[in-house]
Amino acid sequence: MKWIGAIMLTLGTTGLGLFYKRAGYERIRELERFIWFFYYLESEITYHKAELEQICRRGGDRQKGAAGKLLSAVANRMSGGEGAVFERIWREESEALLGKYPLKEEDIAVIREFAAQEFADSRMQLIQAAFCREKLEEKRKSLSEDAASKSRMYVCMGVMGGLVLSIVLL
Amino acid sequence: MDLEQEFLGLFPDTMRHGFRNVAAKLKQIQEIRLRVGRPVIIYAHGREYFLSEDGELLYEAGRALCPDKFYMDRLFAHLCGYSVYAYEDEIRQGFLTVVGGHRIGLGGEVVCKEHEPVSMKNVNAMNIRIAHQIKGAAYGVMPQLFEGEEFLNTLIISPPGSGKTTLLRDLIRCLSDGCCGHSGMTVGVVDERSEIGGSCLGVLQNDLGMRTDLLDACPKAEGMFLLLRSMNPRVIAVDEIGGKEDAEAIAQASRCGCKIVATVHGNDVKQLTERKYIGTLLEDRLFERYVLLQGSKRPGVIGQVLDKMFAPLTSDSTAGGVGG
Repeated sequence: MKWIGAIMLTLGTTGLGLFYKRAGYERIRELERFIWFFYYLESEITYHKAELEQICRRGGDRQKGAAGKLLSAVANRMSGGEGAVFERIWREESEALLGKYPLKEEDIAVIREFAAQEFADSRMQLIQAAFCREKLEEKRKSLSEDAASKSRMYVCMGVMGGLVLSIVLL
Repeated sequence: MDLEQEFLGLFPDTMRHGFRNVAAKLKQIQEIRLRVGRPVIIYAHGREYFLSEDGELLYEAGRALCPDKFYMDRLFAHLCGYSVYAYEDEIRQGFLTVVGGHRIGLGGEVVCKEHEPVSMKNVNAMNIRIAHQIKGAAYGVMPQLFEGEEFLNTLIISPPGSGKTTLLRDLIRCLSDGCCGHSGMTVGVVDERSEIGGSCLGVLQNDLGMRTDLLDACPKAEGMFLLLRSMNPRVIAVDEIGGKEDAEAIAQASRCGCKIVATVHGNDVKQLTERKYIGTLLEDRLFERYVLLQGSKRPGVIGQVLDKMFAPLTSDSTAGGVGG
């Protein structure tokens, strides 16, 4: 019985380690989706001069995860005719949706910052998009660099923690 | 979405209350003029009203709503869909075309680069011209613009705000779809200021008929040549001709066998003959029919139709309609 308990404990802590490992990779993937959106936005502004509502709609159709959900929700509210300003819609939807995904508050703050200002010309709008994209890219880069070692650490800590606890309890 | 909701959608949620009454009377309204620190003026039935903060139409300016700078900035951003960059080319020319085909004229500080306007900042005045597509506005005049099955080169003449574009739009639709016993034909439209089709970000807001090809936001003269080269139209339609290039392009298109329907600002034919380039077209008898509208007091009402020798064919036939 004791041995079964020890095995269960070790498996549980290993599972926890694997969960953290997966969450780390999921965060990177979510950031990559937003980075893609900001590249897409820059391209749409430069070549199509599309409105933000159209860009969000198309971006939402093409992207999954937090980015896809946020973009679709923003596009729906903008086309729904409620008349709220873009900044408010973006902020409210970011707050309502992004917390459900493996993104940290610092990531959400960068994404929210995108709509904080309105610009009169395409140049400044592009600079704002590039500014947000670069911040997210920096985060993704540092997370990716640490991802392998952190994943190993999470899994090892899970296994080792389980074993140590089992030995102590036995 | 009905017209009323579509119109209210032009305004941010915080401003809609004041415009609900206006939306309900949209069909009678021609223009809404907003200026920073000045009362909002609404033009309807050929006279002006003032708009109160509660959306009431007033005869006196005393209780009228006076938008401040913040109000105008917020409205401007909303009209542009919070994407001012998407409208840069239009803003440079001093207007925006929004969903519903409504035209927003802009006043403000023009930003120039090497003496060329590149943008506009500090927008302090807006003129919202309500688009009215009145199907059937051209029925009264259509039979006089044909000789047998052949459409005749036509010039619509009137002062601003008399319904020229409304009549032209319906003429295009009638020619394209066919009506009054005439079969439809290919019509090419050069819509330099997006007034005819009311194109908003590439989507036509007005019905111009099933055989109509439209070049949007394209200079008239270049557009006419483009259409001639590529689309083989039977009729070319253009709005508000005036310059040398326009006159030359019209003459050229006419020589290629295309028929022309155009509008021009003016009070009568005599006044037009005195104008440098348009006058030449009239002297050459290029136009075979002249449609004179009655003026802004009775928008859309046809005063006279003249033949190529400026002799009246008819007078005071009512086409109905409101618009620019």
